[in-house]
Amino acid sequence: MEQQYILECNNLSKLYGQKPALIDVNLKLCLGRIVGLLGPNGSGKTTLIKLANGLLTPTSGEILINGMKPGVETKKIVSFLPDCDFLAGWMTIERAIEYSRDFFSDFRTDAAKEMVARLGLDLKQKIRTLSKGNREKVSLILAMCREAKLYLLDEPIAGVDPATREYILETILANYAENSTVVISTHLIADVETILNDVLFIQNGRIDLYRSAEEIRETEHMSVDALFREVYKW
Amino acid sequence: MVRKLYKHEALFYLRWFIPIASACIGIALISKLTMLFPNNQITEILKSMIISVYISSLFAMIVFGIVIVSLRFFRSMFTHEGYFTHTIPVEPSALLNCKLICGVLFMLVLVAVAGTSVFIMSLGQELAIVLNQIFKGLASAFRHGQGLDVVLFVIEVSLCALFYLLRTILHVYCACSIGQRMKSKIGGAIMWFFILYGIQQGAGTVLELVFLPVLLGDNFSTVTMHIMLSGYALYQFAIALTFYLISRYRIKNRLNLE
Repeated sequence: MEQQYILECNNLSKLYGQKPALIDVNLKLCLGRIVGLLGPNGSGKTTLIKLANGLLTPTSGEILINGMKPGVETKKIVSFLPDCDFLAGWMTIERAIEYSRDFFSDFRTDAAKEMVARLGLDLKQKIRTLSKGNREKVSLILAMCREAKLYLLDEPIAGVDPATREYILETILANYAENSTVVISTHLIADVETILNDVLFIQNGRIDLYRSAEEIRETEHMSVDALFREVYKW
Repeated sequence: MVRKLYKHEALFYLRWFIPIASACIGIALISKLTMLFPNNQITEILKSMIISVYISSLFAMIVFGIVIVSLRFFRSMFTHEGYFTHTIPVEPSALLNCKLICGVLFMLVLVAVAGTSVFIMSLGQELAIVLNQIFKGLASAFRHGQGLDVVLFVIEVSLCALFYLLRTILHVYCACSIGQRMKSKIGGAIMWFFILYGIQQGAGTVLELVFLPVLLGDNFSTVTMHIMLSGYALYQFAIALTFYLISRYRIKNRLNLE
């Protein structure tokens, strides 16, 4: 029986006008892995994630989520955390949780409320009154309290303090659904390395490397962070 | 799933409807109360000022309504909030339809509030007598006019108003949908608003030059009036449909959330 991949790219390319963002990407991600999508700024990480979410259309090639093109059905099984503050300031935390509960049948409302309470936040608080760190945490809670098959987290630890980073990584590990895949896009490799199963190196729109983190450490005798610096040094 | 879209959109507009409607009705009631003051130089000035405030509030309410509808669409579809909007499992056209229908309903409700405030102002006043005379005059014209179908006339005027409202809102949506690909999304939306306005005006002028000489010729009758009203409604509908199709295409295929 042919293996079903949760995310599959076949000769995927994306151009913004004449500028290539992704060039001929071929990729197959299996279920049950935490994958680091690692690359410098402008390498194509966010473009790949947006294509997987159906927020962009490919220039050529295809991208498949669980064997389907991005659309209504794939959005039901993909949980996305963008790299920006996407919550409406006028919403309360409770309204944001209700919104997620109403549109995603796999959303765990009780778990989300419990996690918000543990942060010491009031559900009636408006999003705009939260600090940046707390808004990031609430956004993460909304993404991770889903029983999705694929979690796409775009730069979840960028721009936050080390304590918040630790909270974010712990939340990811504690809450992702069993046998699902988590893709974490980041350029802060040293912070996420310990939780990664596989790593993808991407630069200038091309995938340079896709290997197991453990295998890298065993065969290259260096950390993933050190290998990344080696591969992409000026 | 689509029902939930409408629920959340309605909840958003309810937040705005309550204070706006309350303010409008409140100003109408205050204006009405000042009418009861005995007439002297000072109260006459006060009454004039308050009536001016009341009339301004009616216009402000409608303009504010259009602004809210426009901002709601722009922010939820093309700013960072769009990441929340566009990742929920519904078709892009369902998002557009929901925002359009809820926006139109919100504006219709505001118009109803304005009508209610006018009714409050007219109770027991000269204004009521004047309005009564106007309606009686219109009814008389309908009864004695040849070939003028009252029901058809009301339907035509209502459709003209509805399609005009649809066209206005879709004009904004279309401008936002095209302008969102530019570096400054707001600047792009404003620029395309005026470009689309210019195109509409040009098309309208051409149609007027072609059809008005024929319609306003020697054979002008009440039937001609029906034709003109229907034609105007059709024109508004065609423009609204064009804006809708462009917006739908842009949202589905040319989305930019940067």
